Amino acid sequence: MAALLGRADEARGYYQTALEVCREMPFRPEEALTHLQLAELLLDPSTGPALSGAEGSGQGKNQDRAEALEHLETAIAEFREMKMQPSLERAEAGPVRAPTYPAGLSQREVEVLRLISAGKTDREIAEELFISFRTVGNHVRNILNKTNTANRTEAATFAAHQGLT
Amino acid sequence: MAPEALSLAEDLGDSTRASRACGLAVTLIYRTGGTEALRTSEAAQWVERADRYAKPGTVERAVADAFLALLRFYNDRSEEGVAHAGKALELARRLDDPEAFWQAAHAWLFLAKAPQHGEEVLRLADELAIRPRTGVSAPRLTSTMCEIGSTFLAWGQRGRAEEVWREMDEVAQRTGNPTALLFSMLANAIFASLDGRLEDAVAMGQSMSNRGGELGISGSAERFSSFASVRPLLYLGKGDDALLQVSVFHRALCLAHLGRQEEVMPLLEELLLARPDIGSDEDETRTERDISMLEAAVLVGHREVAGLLLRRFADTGLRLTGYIHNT
Repeated sequence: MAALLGRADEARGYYQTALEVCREMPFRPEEALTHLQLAELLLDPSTGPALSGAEGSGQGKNQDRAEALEHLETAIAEFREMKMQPSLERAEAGPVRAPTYPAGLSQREVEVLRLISAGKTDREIAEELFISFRTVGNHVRNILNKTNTANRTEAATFAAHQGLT
Repeated sequence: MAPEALSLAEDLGDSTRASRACGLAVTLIYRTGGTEALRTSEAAQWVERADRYAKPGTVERAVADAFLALLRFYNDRSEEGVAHAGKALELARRLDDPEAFWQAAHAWLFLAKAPQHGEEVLRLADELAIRPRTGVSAPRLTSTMCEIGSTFLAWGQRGRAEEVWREMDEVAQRTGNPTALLFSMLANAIFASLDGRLEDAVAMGQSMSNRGGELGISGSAERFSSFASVRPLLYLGKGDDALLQVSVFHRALCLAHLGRQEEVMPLLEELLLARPDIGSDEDETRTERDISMLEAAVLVGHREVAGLLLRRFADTGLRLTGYIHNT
């Protein structure tokens, strides 16, 4: 769920806990699936930078990528042995899957929408996301169009209704 | 046999024997037809008779409450069902009758599957795991052991589940009791699935179904076979086969695994958004049902439904769903 909402750090923590629980049990199919989900999270371009730290340092990104590939290899080997065909195909096809959001919102638009819901102004959103004031304006316009809402208050209600806040 | 026994007891004015005769009839109906049989008018009639003849504070009263618990629960009155199970257990604790106690304990473990009962159920499972087994029949013992093991599994205590289910298998093999043998097969299938021997688990589910037919308990056998097979079938990518074996509450999960998103969304909304009391103390919806729908909601990206369900399990220490479509 945290991954679905784009909360990458939180999702990573949950996946790591899930791995521990599955290993302890053991629960082999779920452990393999968790390896895949963790790999997908680490390799996702929309969440990767968040996981590598605010600066998105090259070293952090490389470490995440190496970790992701390790998880992916483990998952593929396990899926093959257990004959978990759909998961094997998903893992072999490439793990980068952009999360889907309601009304066709992009990851960035969801981030802006969350800040709108928190009552932030365009100026504050721009500062928080390190983007220009004008870009925020474009995002807000797209959000209102896509969600078919008339203003920021309605958009915030939409966000709450869709569990995006 | 039960109608004759009841008639004889009625002629003698013996309410204890009359209630017991009714209990015997319910047990046979349940063991042969499984929980589906509890929705029939025949089952309702026998349970109501058992209830009518049972005197307050007696073993028959505790047993009748345990039956009422099952009957209400499987006729869409789950809150009343769990309340009857609690009442049966409370009374059975005060009586010196091991069979009645284990029956009431089984009803509680079997029905109180909502997350708010999790810790209480674990405490009872802890207690039963070390309680003497003297005076308890093999079917009662094994059906309760199945629930004890499932509870331990739900809390991530696989070692303890294995221990209890090993004992259950010994009783099953020693007595050759048909229901006990099915429980034992179910336990083996669950471990096969946990260990990633998925095709073995599916094959075990199929043998349970076949064996149940031979033993004359096909209703229960089909149900157990589904508990054991659905999850490994989904892992193996055989969602169509899984879909044939599930109730409406697990349909969304199978459809989500099959990628039939357009069917999952309305189904989840129909089952969940109209449910008024999700996550309240009165919500007796079984954990495995909501976990199944939570998984479906996450798979199709239905944030509203996923959020509603996730809140229900936020503060529980539950790790798995036990033996039913285990995950």
